[in-house]
Amino acid sequence: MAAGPYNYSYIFKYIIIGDMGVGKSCLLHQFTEKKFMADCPHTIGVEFGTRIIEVSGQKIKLQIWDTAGQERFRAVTRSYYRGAAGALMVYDITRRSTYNHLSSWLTDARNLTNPNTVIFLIGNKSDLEAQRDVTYEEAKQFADENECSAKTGDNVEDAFLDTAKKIYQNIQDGSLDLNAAESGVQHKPATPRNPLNTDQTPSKEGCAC
Amino acid sequence: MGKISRSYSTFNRNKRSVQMLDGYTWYTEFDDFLFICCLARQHEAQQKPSLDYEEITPCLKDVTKIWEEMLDSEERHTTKFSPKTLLDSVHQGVPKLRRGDIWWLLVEQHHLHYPDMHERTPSKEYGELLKDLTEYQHNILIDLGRTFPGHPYFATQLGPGQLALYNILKAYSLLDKDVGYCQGLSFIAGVLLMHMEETQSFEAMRHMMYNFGLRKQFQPNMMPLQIQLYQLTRLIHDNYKDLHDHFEEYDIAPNLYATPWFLTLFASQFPLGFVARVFDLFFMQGVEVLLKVGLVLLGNHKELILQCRSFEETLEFIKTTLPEMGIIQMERVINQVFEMDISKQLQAYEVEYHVLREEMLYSPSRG
Repeated sequence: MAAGPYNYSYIFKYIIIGDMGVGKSCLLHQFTEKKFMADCPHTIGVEFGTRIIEVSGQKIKLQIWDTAGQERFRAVTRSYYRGAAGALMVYDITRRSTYNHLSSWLTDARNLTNPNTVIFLIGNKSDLEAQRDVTYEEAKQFADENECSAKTGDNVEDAFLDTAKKIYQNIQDGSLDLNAAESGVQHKPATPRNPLNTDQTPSKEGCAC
Repeated sequence: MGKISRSYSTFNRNKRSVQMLDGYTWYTEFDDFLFICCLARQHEAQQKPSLDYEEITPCLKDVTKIWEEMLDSEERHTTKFSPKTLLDSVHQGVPKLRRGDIWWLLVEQHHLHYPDMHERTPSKEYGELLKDLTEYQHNILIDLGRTFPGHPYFATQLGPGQLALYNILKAYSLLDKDVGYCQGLSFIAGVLLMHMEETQSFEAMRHMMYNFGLRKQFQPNMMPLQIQLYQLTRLIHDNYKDLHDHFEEYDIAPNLYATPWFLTLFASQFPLGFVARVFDLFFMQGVEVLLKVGLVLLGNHKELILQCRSFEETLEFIKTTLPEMGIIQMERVINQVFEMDISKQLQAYEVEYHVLREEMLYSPSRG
């Protein structure tokens, strides 16, 4: 539970969406805990995870929302799309139906996020090559994507990091306005992270603007 | 054992071939396979799940005796026991090993006390329901391995626990076409199956869903769930204003933590001994128990929650630390729930929810 030093300059909000059982929670767990959760119960509603990463020398805290995949939960999870800087859209490379449903997930993501939200496609379960049901080339035509395995951890980092790089790029070139409501990006939070260590003061203000 | 292992290899082969197809065209074949598995299972020794959870409110001898008298009574199927006796006995404890029998007794008693209600419940028989195919099969299968994955009874792929779970969820999805299968239900069915045999578990679930109105929160538009979440917000506001303000400050809405509480009757996050007590109470009082338990859990941990200084920390506390509370604290929560009556508030808040919603929808300044 020990909180690390309070040393990040940005918070990026992500959402993870996609059909039931494509491995959204396992991806999140692999990314935040660096291990595969074999006995992961299914997500009811929304779950949440964080990790601090580094992009171009800047520490960024990723605040990641993991959503339930069943259709009717969209009524509950839709409110989390707003204010997301990144949306990871996940399908299972061994189940074509999860790939076929991407267009409906994409419609939701496009309609409910802001125009600058970086949407990233992830084909999960790349360790199950023998059961592959969707080719990489095919998915690549649909969108820029990354195949990975929450089980082995292959490419999971990249999926989360590439999205962050893109968001950071958008900030740098001014296409993402940090002051806009619901940009999904916060520059340096105002409150210290761990209140239990009251002697711990926030690190130096890193405002470079 | 030979039969089972042969079934497993059939399963793997089938799985590969069906994955080439999309939609529901493949389910007949799959259902046949499950049927084979079920047959195979009947030849296996009935593997009963062990109830090795830690008991909350251990049942004293004299209370156990009262339960046994009721359970063994020749007239139990026709005699109405007084609701007060039942509630007092539940309050004083339910012996773990007879818990399933006691839940069944409570179902029967409800039936005797409210026969009209039971007449309105769809009555199609379990065995009949199992003969049909469900459009939710795929969804149910995906969740089988992800329901109590750490519990030995449910951990084996298509073992007795998972098959019984599959059957119940399938039958329920066919009984209740409005709800079908909704994530969360598998945990409720799972808790029942740990305590009762399959058919009885299904009947208990039918009872909870229809006669206690639990089914509403699973309906596709999820509006009743939203109402419950609003009711919880209001209860927090009225009972623990500082906690309410804390949640406001960090933008923590109850759907972030209470959705799994309500949709699984606390079963997805809390220890089984605690969940079993929630079920005990549910069989007496229905859905409002969920709100009471939620409110008391938050209220009893108020000071610790108020110490959390960020959104993440608060949420982490509620999701992870709170379910790890000690057995004495759990017992206290349950005891407090027995003392509460919030039905009037719940009604008022429900009306309020609808009024607010209409105002939001028809307000000229909207947007």
